[in-house]
Amino acid sequence: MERHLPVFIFIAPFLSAFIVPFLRKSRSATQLLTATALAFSSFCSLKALCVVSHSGPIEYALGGWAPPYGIEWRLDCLNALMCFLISTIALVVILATGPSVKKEIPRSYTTYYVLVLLHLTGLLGMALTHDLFNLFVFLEVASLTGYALIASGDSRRGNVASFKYLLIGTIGASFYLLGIGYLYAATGTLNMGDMGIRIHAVIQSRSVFLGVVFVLLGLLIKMGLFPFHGWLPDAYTYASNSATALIAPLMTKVSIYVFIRIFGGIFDRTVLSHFHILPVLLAFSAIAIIGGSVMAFLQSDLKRMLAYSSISHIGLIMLALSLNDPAAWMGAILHILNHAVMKAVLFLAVAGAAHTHGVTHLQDLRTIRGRMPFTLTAVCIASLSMIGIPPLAGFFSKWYILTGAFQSGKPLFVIIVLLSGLLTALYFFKMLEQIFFQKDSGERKLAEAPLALVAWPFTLSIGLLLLGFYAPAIYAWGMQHIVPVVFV
Amino acid sequence: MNEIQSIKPLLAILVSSVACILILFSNKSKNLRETWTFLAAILKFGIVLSLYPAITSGKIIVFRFFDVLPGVTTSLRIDPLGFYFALLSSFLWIITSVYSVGYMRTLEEKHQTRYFASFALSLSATMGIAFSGDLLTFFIFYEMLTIATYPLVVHKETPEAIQAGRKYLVYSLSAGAVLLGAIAWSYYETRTLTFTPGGFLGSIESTKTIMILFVLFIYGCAVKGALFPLHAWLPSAMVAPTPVSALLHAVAVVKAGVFGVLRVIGYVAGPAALERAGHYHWLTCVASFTILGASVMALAQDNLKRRLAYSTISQLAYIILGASLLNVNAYLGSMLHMANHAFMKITLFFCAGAIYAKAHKEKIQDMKGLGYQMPLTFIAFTLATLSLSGFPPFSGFISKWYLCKGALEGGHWGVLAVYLSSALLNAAYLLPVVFVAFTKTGESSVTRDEKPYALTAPLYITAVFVILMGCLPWLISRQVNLAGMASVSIFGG
Amino acid sequence: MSHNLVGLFNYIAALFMILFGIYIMIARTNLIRKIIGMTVLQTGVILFYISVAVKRNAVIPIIGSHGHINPDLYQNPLPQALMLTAIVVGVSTLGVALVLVISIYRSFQTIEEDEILKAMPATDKKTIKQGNTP
Repeated sequence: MERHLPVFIFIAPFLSAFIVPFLRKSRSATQLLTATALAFSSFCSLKALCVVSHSGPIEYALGGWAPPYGIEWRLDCLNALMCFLISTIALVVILATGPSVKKEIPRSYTTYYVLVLLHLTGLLGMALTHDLFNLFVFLEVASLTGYALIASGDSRRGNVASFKYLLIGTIGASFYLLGIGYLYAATGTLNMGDMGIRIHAVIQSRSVFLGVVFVLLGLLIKMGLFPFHGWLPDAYTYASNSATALIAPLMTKVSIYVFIRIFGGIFDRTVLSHFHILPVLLAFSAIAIIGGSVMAFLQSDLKRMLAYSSISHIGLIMLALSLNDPAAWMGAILHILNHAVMKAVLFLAVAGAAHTHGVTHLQDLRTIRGRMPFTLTAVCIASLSMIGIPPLAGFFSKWYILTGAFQSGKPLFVIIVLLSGLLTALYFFKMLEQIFFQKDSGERKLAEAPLALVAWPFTLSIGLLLLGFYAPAIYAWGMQHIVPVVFV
Repeated sequence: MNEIQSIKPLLAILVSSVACILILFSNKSKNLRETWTFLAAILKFGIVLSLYPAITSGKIIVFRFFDVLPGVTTSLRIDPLGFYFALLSSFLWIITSVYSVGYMRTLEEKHQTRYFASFALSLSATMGIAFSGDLLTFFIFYEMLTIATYPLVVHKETPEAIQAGRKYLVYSLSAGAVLLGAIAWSYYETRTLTFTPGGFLGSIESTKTIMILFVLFIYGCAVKGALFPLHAWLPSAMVAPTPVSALLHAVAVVKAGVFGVLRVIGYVAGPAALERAGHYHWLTCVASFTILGASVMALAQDNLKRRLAYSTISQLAYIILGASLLNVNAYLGSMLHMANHAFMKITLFFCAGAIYAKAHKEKIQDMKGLGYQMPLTFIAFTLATLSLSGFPPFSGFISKWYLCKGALEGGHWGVLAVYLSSALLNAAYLLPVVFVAFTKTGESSVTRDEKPYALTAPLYITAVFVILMGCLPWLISRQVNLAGMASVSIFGG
Repeated sequence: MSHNLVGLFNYIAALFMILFGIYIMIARTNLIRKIIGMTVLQTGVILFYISVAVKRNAVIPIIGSHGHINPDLYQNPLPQALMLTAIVVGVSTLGVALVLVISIYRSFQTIEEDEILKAMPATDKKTIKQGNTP
């Protein structure tokens, strides 16, 4: 039973995607099926997390073909954590956006939910697989459905944004494919574990260098690190609120996970420093942090502000990963966790406010003052967590990244990490000021969003408090189980 | 060293957090909401007071959280210094709550729920700061304090208030970032963050590192402690309602800052490490400059609350100056002044608030003859003024005595001169208020009006304390004893 | 020398297609042209893979058609299988891209990038009939 957990995690959303069209008459049946599938995945991921912590990784050879010739799926602690993150956040978002999907996608909800399920299948597949080409396939599945989801909804600008994302994303995927090609040519294998062993013999070869560079470029485009972030603001802004709430927390994080897996697990980190890539990554990340925050401050559209905020924090995570220190890497993994939750809360809250009061811009926030207490509390908690105010979750990931920065001997980046917190405070307090302290219309009638759109962000934000409280425990667990695998 | 494990520190902190949530839900019923505040305040003070016997018998009360990093166990640790600060804050919260109710209801201010909830949360944070056993816990509550007090600063929601709030955030959050960097750096160097009497930075080889860390730590704490040139947020923050100014900016926030400085000098860096590093006299110079400079600025202010703000900046620098002299008596004097100044300043602010609430006057020149309308208020003002200037038999004299003793011991004649001249300046900028208030305006009969008592009784109480802490041996000896325990543990005999 | 050049010809072609494809995607404003560029890019990558799989004097990789043979004499089947998948992925991407272009054309009445960008800040509704404000 436990042996098959990787497949169980994957199969639920995958099969449901094919069953949903049969339920096209009933919206609630569709939503129920989707939620059930994700709940099942989430439960299996949790089970997997426990199993893998105790007994070591679960290796699954698809079709019975043993690796390295067959495609292998492998669950270790990092994977299992990512699967759990993906399925749980997706579950919460699906449950929460029920009302907003009803409003924004009135008739073609079947297509929407099929796309959602396939997108999540792609993401889970990316997290589960231990084969580089298999990862490409799932990457493309997730991306294509992502493009389609961004074009969902009533916005014509969403189509343009989706097209732009498609073009840039395909370049990224093609680069990734090209990179794998070089690596395959050099090592003769596509299995991650096997390549990790064989790469050392050929590390001096130019094709390995090219492979590494192209794979890296592909991943950087997919995760939206400066200067490859061009698709992100428009995609997040013009998509429907429900789609953004699903895509924003997850897609880029899984790409970062792939980065960790490949450049930590397969190539030990000496590859990155051997090819002198780290200084470039550090520079890009630093510019992403600062530039992203400045751009976020200048925005008046809420979703756009949150999109630039994501760019900034992806920069922070990549900065931590480029620092070449175990504490920083664990801090980065923790921040992946935290940031996914925080952004989910924020985008869901924005969806709720837009759904009930038509709030799209910062100035509109004044109109909901005092009328959506739970939503605004969630926004408050998530914002403070993004800034890094203790004892919320965001502080602890920043603290560990700082510790790592000192240990890696690069004090300049300490300053940049601290700066990122302050710059984040700039635009979030600008938003909080608008919500709580500006002159408003004076209307005090309570008008909260529909229950789902309120309850889930609020619960998630309480989760941020818990994440903060348990952060040191997660850190210790990660240092014991994850870092030895990916930070060899 | 005796350590007692107890959950009481955590309870003391949580009491007002729970109250905060209850207050938020009691929006509809004013009296219920106020009840939560009073219940929490009394309960908190009770818990803290119950720890007095243990502390004075030399025990340390500990409550451990968890290991954040190898070597860093976040914990709550009550030692004499922390207990002293906690006792002070919790007692003054009770009094300020009474005053708040009176003030808010007299002026029929809006957003009272938010006000009382933020107040409760800030006191949680203040207790946390007082009870922190290590730098990381300290930092957590320090930032919490910034966030909790922000809604109080911005309370009136006028453009000036929002500007003041932004200034406050910029100053406080950047100080927080610097502090976090310093904490991470010291962890990297020493692998420990626990407050140790006598400091733990001494284990670092490089004196340059010690000095840079010291500067960063002081910067982080000195923003809240309003040391020049990081003081600019404080006068702007006077735009908040007076009870906020009174407790937070005369007692809790700024005292948390100087408390941090005391912790840094005594329990993080330590006198031994600082003397080895040398060049620590810059702090003495900056503090002296602040004392004199702020006093001079105070002379130029016509708005009473701003004058009091500059006075606060000046008096806080006394505390920092005393700590920077690195000897027992000066440190003791600093601690005494922490408490004594709190009572004096809070009296002065309460008077200012009562004046605004009853007579709607903010500028001193408008207060001619007000003394006859509110005689008891202005008498309390006078008493606090005299104490601030260091006249016996008031409490200000006691703390100044020890500070001067510490200055003499170290041979710091310059510092002594600063103290004496500043005492003159104190009188110079506060006594005129009294004179203006009691000038005869020529109006025939003036009605005395000092109701409601919720507004004026608190300042009578604190004024009485100002006297008692200056001349009641029972009280003085206990205070000195407590402060002495802390100083001796840092500096030795 | 010529042997090397001829041997490298595939790779040079693949490189050319990749670069040209990206160039088209950037430089051309017509959306269909951009899609063509994308397809050229993907084809270049596919060509690269296939070239990696080539062996001189090797036989088709089907077991049993030539009796018992040393496996080294088979052509490498793996890249070919991978590229079948990649072609499928490319076709799907092409499909999605074309649908998006149709939808953009319906909304903006043009498929020139510069005109679309100019029209972007204007009203947002995809279809004029649905007039409900969010």
